[in-house]
Amino acid sequence: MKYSALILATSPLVLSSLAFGQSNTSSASTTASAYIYVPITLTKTHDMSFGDVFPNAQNGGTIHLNAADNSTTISPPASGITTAITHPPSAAVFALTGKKNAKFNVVVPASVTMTSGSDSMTVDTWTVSLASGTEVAVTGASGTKLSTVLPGATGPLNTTLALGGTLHVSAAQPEGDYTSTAFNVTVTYE
Amino acid sequence: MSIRTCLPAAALLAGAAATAAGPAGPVSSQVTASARILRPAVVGAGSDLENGLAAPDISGEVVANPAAVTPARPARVTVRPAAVRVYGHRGGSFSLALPASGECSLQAAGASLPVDGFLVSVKGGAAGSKPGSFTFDGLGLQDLRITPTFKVGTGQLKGFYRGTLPIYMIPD
Repeated sequence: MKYSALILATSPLVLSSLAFGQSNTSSASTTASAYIYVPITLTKTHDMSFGDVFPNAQNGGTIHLNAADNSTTISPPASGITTAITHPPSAAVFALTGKKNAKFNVVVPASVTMTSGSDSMTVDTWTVSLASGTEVAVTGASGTKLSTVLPGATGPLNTTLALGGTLHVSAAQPEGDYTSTAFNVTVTYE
Repeated sequence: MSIRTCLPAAALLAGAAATAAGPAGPVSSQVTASARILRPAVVGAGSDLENGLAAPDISGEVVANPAAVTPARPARVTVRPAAVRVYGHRGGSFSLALPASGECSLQAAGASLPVDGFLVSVKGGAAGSKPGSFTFDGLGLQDLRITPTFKVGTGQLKGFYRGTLPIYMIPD
């Protein structure tokens, strides 16, 4: 019924236009686009290591491992904690490929525990760096996961992703070789 | 699940299309974190343990007549060296930081005997990879003998001097 009413309402105009020979067509241009995403891939190059650490007998503190340049920052500075040059610290490094100019998330556990026998230390406050650029804090929360967004690469996304973090060292941390169980670092398009 | 709902439609379509060809995001890679905690302390007989600092007792006795001290006939000083056992990580190497000349002295009743320098000898273990450094043995031990040296001038009172010697261990 609605269609019938519409035709009846407009038919006088159609007849009128045809009677005067005017065109009833018009055009506008448009484009069609599609975003082709190649699968994003992440392949570990090497693990994260805080190297050799000398704890302080009286003071605890933290050691932040910079994802961009593998440098370390001890806090508080006067804690007496020192790192040695015998085994330099190194951030975890991954090979990363994906769609150019795409933004993506990096998801890591909120914290990771490293153990040596019954002794343990915690790593958290993660940072990431794309192609040795400025490190970016991994922020935001989703359950026990944290995520951050890195700017997409300006060229084909075939680069490196480094992961840094902060190690918590207690006063008189017992000697030992501390290692975590393997944990997931996940990347996904935003 | 929340990650997938955040994906744009194009990404979801691409993901679906790529499923047959291979993995589509999100993708994960496993990694581990590690650190090696080393023993921080230097421990020696009569020393106080404090984060790489040892203060072993040392002593020396000025036995000559101070009035007779001349460059040609220096005062005799007998010294008992400090025996220091250093604990560290097996195979690790370290250097010692010792007080500079005049920064450390031995004391007797009313008199002071400045330490001029030190002689360090290794008992067991091995020399380190660079001059002046030492390497811990297979048990993580290194025994050192640290002997202070003195310049005794005219007027130095005869007597038995004793004191403590601060030593810092610096990992290489």
